[in-house]
Amino acid sequence: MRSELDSLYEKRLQTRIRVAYFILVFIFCLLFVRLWYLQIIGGDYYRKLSENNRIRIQKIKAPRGLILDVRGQILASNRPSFDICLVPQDAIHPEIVLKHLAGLLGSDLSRLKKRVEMSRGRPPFEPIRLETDVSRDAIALVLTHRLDLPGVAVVSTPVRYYPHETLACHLLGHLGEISPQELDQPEFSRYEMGDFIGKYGVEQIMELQFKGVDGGYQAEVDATGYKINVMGRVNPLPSHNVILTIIADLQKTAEDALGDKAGAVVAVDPRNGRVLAMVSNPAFNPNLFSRGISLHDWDNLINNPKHPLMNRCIQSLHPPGSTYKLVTAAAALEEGLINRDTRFFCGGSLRCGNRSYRCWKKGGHGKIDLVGGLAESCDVYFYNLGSLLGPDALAKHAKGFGFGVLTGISLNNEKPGFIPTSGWYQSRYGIPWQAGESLSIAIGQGSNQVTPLQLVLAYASIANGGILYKPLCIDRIVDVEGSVIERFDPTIKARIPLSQENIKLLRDCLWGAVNSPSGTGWRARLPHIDVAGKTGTAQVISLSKEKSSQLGDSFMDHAWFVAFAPKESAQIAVVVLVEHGGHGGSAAAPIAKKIISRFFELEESGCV
Amino acid sequence: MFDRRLISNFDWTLFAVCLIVSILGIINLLSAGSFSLNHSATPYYLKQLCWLLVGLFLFLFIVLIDYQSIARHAYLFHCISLILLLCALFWGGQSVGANRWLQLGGLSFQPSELAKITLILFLSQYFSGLNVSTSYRFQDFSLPTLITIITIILIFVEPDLGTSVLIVLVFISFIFFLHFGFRYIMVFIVSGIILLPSVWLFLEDYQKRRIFAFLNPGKDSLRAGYQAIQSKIAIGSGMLFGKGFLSGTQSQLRFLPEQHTDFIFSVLAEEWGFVGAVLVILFFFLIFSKGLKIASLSRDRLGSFISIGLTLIIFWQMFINIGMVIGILPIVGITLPFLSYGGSSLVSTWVIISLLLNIRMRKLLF
Repeated sequence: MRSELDSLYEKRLQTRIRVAYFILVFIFCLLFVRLWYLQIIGGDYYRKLSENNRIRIQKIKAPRGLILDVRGQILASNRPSFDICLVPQDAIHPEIVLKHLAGLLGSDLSRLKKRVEMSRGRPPFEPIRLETDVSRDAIALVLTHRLDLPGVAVVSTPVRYYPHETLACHLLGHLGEISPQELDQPEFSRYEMGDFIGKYGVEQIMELQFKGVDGGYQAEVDATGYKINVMGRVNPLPSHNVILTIIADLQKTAEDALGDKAGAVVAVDPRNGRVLAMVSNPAFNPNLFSRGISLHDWDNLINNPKHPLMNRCIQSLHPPGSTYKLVTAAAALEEGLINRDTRFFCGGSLRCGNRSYRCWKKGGHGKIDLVGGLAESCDVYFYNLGSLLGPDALAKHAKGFGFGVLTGISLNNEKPGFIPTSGWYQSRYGIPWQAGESLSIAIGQGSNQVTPLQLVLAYASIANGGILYKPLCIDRIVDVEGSVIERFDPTIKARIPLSQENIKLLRDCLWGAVNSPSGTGWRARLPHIDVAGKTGTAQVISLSKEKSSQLGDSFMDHAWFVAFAPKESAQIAVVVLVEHGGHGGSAAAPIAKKIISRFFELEESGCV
Repeated sequence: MFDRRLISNFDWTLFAVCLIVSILGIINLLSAGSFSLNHSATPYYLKQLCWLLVGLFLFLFIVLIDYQSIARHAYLFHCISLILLLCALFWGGQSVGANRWLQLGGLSFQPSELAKITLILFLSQYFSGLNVSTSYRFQDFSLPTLITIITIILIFVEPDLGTSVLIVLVFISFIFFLHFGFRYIMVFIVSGIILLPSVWLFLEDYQKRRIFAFLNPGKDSLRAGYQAIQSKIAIGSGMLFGKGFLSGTQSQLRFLPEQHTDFIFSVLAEEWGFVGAVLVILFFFLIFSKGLKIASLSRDRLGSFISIGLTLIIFWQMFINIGMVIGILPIVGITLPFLSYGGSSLVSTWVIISLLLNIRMRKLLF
């Protein structure tokens, strides 16, 4: 039975339901009126829009951010590429249109058809690219025949462009089309199929900085696909620009000085670890990648025995040769085994076990001290140090100089190199460390492997009083207006385990190697600047000189030269590696000299 | 055991209208899904037909059980819904960045579709069970409001803005039918006005964009505004009698986004014109008025509350969906009952209809 209360409630509920009916009727009228307005009053207008004049969305790609050198010279920018496209929906008879177009442009009809075929399944208002990067003449031709080519449109897209072509290509890197795997990653959520992203170098590591926000517009177009009215427009937001630490001018000098020889050059500022130039030879042209590299070009790069895609500055591993004597000397000094005046006798070779280890100078250097030993690069002097030190003490100091570990430069695929220890030897060969090996590694041969960047940073730490910096290749990221988004400050990675006194002594030794009458690096001498440096020759295979020169280039030794200048408060440190160049003194030192003298010219003119 | 009055009280008109609209929906999907890129996959309309059969089967099942027995377990049902929502949040399948879907052996289903129904059952059971003197007191609202807010938050974070907005509106309008004083309504409205801006902070970027796009469609004509403009063109170009079945250029040429789900009404209005669109809306209003009728005929408060709540769900879903499609409301993702493609949506709509018919059948049984 219903209670009194229930019936009271019932009454009120019925009232509210009645109110709800009224609201329903009102809302029905609202929907009715709106539909009337859209379909009956606006019907003609919308019918026209839907039939002849269609609304298109056209993307405006945000141009990729620029890469500039430290003085503001553009190293990577964008150029417009004019593409001829087909909008399937506007092409009434695509077959005829394609045939006509192929005739006009002289292009292969079956290729154009294939392009259209590949795009099947996409919305019909999305343009299909038929020909990319067409000439002005071709554009004019298409536009004058536009009434005969319904559905054909000329679309301009920004394309990455490196105005100096190969200049600093390994540092700048190149682009490539985004892969499906990359698209799945969360950091690429703003990307879509067909986008180009950095695949190498600064382009790769700064990718997210270079990506702007795409804009676009919605346009009413006529029957042949030409815009008649833009209904809404969103401008693309430009991305950030990246300013490198390198000086393009110095980079150019270094590349010219190296010429067509395979090798590497790195110049850094010893005061902060900023990279001033970074050359790897042979180079590649990053422009080839900007629209997707052709199979032919790719094959050429990949099958080149000299590996042009490798950045030798951070990826090539070679024994450091005599440039390593600096480390051996530092270790011996710091371990207290020798001092400035310790002398050894060089008779042209040193016997160890049942083998004779030769000095490069057949006649020997006679009795020689540390300054002379380093300046004249006496091998016997350092054989003695090597056997005094043993592998592990030397390895400890080498690590202190940053060898065998990554320098931490913000580029991908850097190699750490290798410094042998007795433990490694035991596990690798199953026999204890051989005394003779100590002699080899003391002069930088044997299993030592370093990158040019590691070597120059080690020398820079002698130049700056013992600080090992993390190398910097990017100075700052700025927005379009030029205000700084992020600045990369010098970071001290470590201090080399060496007393100030010994650092000063070693600096004198290196000065002597260039400036003393019998110094091996005399070819790097400059009239007004105190250059300090060290030559090196990395053996490819141990052969007598006569034999190796007979075997030809690929068995010739690698030439090294590392230097900094001026001797006190150095402003630049340079490493030069010439693969199969022969002697460091003759092949590498003159290149370093050119770079150093150019640097001071630029400095004097106030450009740096 | 089986009362013959159950059959004689069965509302055949309501059942027939719902069946007609469902079939119209399947025919309409034949058009909206015809562009499908993947030809090997089962077409939308066939899948939808299967789901309709599932819905009708559930209908038979639900109609036979007295709604009072169902409502007795309303608390449990709603608990299950909340747990399923939590599961979807943690293990849900990703569909365009939302965890709305729960995978159940090859089938995916949307727990929020279930939650809106169990919430109404819970609210009805709770309010009808209270021993009211003259009107509900303020404290009577604390538990249902809390449960509703929890439900809304769980749905909102999935994120499913559409369904959470729907539940907010259903809850507010449901309270309007309850018997309580005018000043409570005032308190409610004032607190709502204060809370509304804080909701803004929780909205995703794309949701804010859509609201901006609604307020100023020209400005963001590429993303959110694009849907609105294309939808208006589709509907408007249908004119009085439409372009004819399978002849809608907007939908066939794929200008219309999400045409088989949220924008299904545009396809209908483009191909069947003003006449078709108004006819479908009329069918909907027939269903609503039947729902309200059932509420006023019901033998007890429980039945009234359930039928009011469920009618409100369908009403708001229809109003929000058609409102956004014809450009009088901002675009939030919400399906159109019976017409939008989607198993969860169709089946849950049929569950609602079966509960309404259930109450109608038992109006005179005491």
